[in-house]
Amino acid sequence: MSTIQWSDGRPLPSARMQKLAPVLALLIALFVPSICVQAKDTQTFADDDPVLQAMRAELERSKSALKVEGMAAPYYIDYHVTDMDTHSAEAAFGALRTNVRMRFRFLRVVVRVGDYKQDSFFGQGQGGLDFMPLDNDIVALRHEIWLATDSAYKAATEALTAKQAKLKQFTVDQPVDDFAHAEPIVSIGPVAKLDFDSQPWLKMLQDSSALYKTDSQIESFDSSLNFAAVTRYFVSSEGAVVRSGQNVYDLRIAGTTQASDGMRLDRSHSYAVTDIKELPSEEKLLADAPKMLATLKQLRDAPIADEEYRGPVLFSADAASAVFSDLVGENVLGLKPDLGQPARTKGAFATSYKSRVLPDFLSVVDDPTLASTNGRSLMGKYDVDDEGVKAMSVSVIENGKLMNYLIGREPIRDFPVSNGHGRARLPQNNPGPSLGNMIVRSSETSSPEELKKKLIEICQQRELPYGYYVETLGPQHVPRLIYKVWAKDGHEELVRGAIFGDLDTRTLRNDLIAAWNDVNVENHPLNIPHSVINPSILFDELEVKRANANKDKLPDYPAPALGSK
Amino acid sequence: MVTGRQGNLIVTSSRTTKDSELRQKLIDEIKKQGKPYGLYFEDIQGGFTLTQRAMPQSFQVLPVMVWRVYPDGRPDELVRGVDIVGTPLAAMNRIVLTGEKVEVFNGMCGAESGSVPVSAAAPAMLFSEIEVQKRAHSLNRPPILPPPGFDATGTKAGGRP
Repeated sequence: MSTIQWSDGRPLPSARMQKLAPVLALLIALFVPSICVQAKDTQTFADDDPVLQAMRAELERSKSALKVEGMAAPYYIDYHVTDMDTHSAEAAFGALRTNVRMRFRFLRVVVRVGDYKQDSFFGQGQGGLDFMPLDNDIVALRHEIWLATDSAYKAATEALTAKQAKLKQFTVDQPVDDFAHAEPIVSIGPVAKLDFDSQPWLKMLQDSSALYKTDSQIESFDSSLNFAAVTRYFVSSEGAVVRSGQNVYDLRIAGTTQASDGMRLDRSHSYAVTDIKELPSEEKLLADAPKMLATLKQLRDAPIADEEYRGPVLFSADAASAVFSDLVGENVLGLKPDLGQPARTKGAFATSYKSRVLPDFLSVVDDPTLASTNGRSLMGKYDVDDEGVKAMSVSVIENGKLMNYLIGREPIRDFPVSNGHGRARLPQNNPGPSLGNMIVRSSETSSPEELKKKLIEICQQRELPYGYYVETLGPQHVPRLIYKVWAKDGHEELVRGAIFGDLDTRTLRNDLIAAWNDVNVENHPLNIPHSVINPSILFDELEVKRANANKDKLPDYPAPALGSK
Repeated sequence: MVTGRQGNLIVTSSRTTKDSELRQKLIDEIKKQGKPYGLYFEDIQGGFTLTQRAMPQSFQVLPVMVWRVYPDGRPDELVRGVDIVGTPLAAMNRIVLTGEKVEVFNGMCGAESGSVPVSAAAPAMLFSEIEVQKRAHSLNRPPILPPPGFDATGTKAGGRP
């Protein structure tokens, strides 16, 4: 619509949220040590923290008095506050493009009406998000909580009625409770601080991105950092009081180029850690970046993959990480199906409880209590989840059989209580089942040499001239570095433009024949920080096809000459 | 997309009266028309106008401080929920006279080419006639509990029954 609008008013919260969304999407981290006690003398812990004081004061008031005549009083209330201090910066072509330090505080209030069996957590009754004052004025903090609680309660009463009306449309054979009971936890960890000197890091971004000059056919080469300190506060009417601090440091480099036929090629690498000391030094980054740039050149010169290949494929642990993360990690989450649906969970493993989902030599555990492995810090470490439940290790898949789902406080059939995996996306989505540290282990292990030997043997048995070795994957499981391994002499040849035809849960269950227990740790800082630890894997048969991708024309004229003005 | 946009819109008048006399001019007009009261728009929060060919070429202004001015000497009465509506030609032709003092409105203006900073400068204006309508508003119940800090003492300040 063509309108002219005058406004001197402040933008609506929703509009402000949209503006911030790209930045918020970058934030994450890890829990620092905390004190865990049973919920009794919580006052002692909360007294010196104005945010917790404000939360507790309003919680007490709401618990005792919040009620509209003729409507049910809340049976459960919780408050989450997320305090984020973030620094993000990006450099390209040797110069900074963005450099932003931001601080936010968000509040999410959930008020539940009804009871644990059936409550108002539905539609508008799932709580709302508001900004919180950044200073520690207790009255101002309480004022924001007061209004948010009021809205949440009113929305909850309406939502319960709407939910009950909707449920009347369905026959529910095996009702599952809406909300699980949980032991209230008191755990007060330190507040996270983002305390670092940005100048050396900004210089590092500029210096590394300046390496584009070493190859005239590099079209983009960016270096970026996203550092964040996140402190989460949680109180519930059941008595939980939790404060936990997390830090995340993510340093990335990414480059793109085009092959002579126009095929777009990209590479990227992320150093995601929870301790800034684990990040590479400038020397290390300036040594790693040229290696990545070299692979872009190699890819430009590499032949295109054959139209179709069906045979053994070996995945490095790095490449296998995305496969396990997406095909296993996403499907072991015990997500309650939509209202009226009889399934146990959503996802590909919804009907697979106690069935085989992986080969019997593989087992999967999710252990958020693990802080590090093989000297690498793990981003999926936490003490208490975002629903105030103590983190616990869960044996998800035992010898190939799915034995448990990861769940939060929204029960699913056969899983009535949380196993400490209810976590919320930043800044403050509703908590739901999420990965912590997913560890894939193999009971039968082969060395990398044996795996490669096996790959070649299978090729020879089936009279295939070569098999494939995948070193890294990009988004959507598109191989970035994939090699033909020639059966005749074992030499490797890089190819480009390959995609997988049938890489899914079925092939993972039926065609995976061997693994090596090397430990690849992949820290995922985005959305909900988690880690995936897994071995290299060998598929007996997998389809590798030539990608049907557009081949964009190369730039009409070359890059500006270095030194030109 | 770049389009032609307002920059500093400056309205000047050749028929002015002292600002101190404007109120009396309004009362004179109310009496002349035999109306029970007139309206004084002290402040607005913004407004919009439809400019597409297929739409009615109308505008709406969203006042925030509106007073009823009575011709019989009663004090002015603050009212709420009033919007000004109309079409530009009909409305602008009803300006009887203006004050002398020019005031500046700085704001953001949104249109086809996005939101841009603009200014408008104009004197106070007396309209012989302007159309107003009741503003749509919610009937949401006020907060159930009084604001923090106002409940323990039993004071009425901010407390909402």
